[in-house]
Amino acid sequence: MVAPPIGFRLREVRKRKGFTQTGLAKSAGISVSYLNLIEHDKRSIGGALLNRLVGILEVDLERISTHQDACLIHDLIEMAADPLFREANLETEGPQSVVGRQPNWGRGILKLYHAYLAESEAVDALSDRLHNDPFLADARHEILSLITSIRSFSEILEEYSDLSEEERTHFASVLALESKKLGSTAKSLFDFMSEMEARAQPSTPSNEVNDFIIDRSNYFPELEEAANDLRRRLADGGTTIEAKLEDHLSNHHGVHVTHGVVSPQLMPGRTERFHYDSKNRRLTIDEVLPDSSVRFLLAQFLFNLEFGDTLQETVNHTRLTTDTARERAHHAMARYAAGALLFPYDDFLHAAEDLRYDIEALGYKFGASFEQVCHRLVTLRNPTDAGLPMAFLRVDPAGNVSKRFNLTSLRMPSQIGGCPLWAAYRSFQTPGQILTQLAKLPNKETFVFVAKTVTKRAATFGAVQRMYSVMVGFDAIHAGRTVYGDALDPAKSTLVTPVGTNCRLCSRNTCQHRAYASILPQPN
Amino acid sequence: MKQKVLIAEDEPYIAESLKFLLERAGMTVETATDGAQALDAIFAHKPALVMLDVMMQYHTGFEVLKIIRSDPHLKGIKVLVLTAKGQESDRQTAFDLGADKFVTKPFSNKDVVADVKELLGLDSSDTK
Repeated sequence: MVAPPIGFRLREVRKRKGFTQTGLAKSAGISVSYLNLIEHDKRSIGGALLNRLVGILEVDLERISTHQDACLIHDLIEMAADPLFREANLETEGPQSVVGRQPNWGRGILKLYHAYLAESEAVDALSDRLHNDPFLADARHEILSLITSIRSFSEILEEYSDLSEEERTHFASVLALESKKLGSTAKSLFDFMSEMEARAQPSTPSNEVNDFIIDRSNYFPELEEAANDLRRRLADGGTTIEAKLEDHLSNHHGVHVTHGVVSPQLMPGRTERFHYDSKNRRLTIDEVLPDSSVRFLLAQFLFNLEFGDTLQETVNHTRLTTDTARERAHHAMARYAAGALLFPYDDFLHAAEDLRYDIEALGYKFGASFEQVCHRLVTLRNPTDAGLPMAFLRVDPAGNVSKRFNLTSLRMPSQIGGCPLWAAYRSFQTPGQILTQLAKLPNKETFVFVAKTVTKRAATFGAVQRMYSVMVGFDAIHAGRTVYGDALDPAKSTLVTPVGTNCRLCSRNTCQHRAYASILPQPN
Repeated sequence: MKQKVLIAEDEPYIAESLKFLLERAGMTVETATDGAQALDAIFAHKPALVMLDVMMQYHTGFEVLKIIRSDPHLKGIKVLVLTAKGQESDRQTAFDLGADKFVTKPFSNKDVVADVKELLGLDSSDTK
């Protein structure tokens, strides 16, 4: 993984402050040549020396090195792996140089690339629909048939002067009828095309939401505080959290909760299995949902009612430039808040430490699903009381990424697919079982991956179950703090799986699982 | 003697206009609205020429064409394939199965009548 461009930043700040290299090196007690290596990011820097340098330069440490910078560099490297740039011969140190000197230019370039990807995706989707959609095939056939009869009868009326009055009247009425049908079919087709265009969702909103969450380091104190406040007010309700939530909805919002069958027609475009009848203030939760999902859904619904303004203020962020992005972010924040409500930060963090981050044990303790526990673990990012730093990934069997959260040193796949050797993908081979893995990247950094497939129950016979793989990952230096590290010894090479991030950026030229040629120079 | 033509077309107004045109051109015309009806009429009356729409119920035009070409009793019937699908693969399929002409919709009245007359060996000046 590429480190943040601390050296470049230091150099920029040094020049701006009027320091020479000799002067700064002398003040910091290091050689000029060493400072030069640092400023060109040929040597890493941290700890006491970094603090000394920022102290001499009188600049905030946060302005020199940010998690956002590291993510931006990774995004630009990933962008450079696109075959679009194959012949551009982009310099490998380009991203660091750009981010170090002009980070906003880096963001601008990335935004342009994402806009290009979004347009390409939309064009591909429309092209695919044009070729394969049965409605379009039928519409095409109908239009051509109508035009055929209209043309034929028009030519008959024009060319045959000896038609009887009856024939002429009949052919004219056929023309009128077929023309009317043609108009109606054309309108249906145009309506369909308009709907297709609206549905061609660009990928940019997802990236904007991810960037927004990264900007906030996946920690939202305002939502944690609101959740704590709401939990205190639930205390006088029923005996279980579910009962408390239902009582609160009924007593304070007049919302009556029932459990029954929710038809897919009542939840178009959504995967959450519930229906809210706002007129009768009746919330129906699909009886097929497990208890953990019911609790989560109730928590999310209640939080939306009580703290809708707080959610709205949270997503009022410059990173979210479209209504689609803000809507998705709002949904993500509502789910964050539900987790904060059900799994209070302090209780959850202490339990996680006590149980050594055993995801299943945490699930039993808090009545949470595997995915809910993983999601909460990666949000334990309070700067003054943080948990083990973790990355998160959720994929389906086709490799489609539906949720991700990166670490500075570990990037989750986004646009161009991941490494097939990761536990996230291999877990589909052992559905329902936890798979742990010591994964070593080409730069020698090693991570522990913990993955398991989760299944959303099908409501009816014949319906296809939705299956995902949910994975968390953390630096192997923390393995001893977890139950998963007990059987994994990074020193034992037989237990380590050599992986990459994705094939285009991987230098393992002997990997039997390579799907694409690498853009990186291969080791001899 | 008038030549017999069968029009196998499920769009009623297209069938009507073709019937008008070919009757005016001096032919006897029968119509069928699906593949099964078409086969019944072909076996019953052995027309000189069949105009086959590809997209029909029960038997597609290609299926009917295949049957015509495989039955020695139906030897000599001329077949003109009509379709809204003008892709090269459909044209190739039609000729591979033994069609004599391939016409895409929408067609010109003059052209389709000329095609039928050519296949039946009729004088092209003999119109209306």
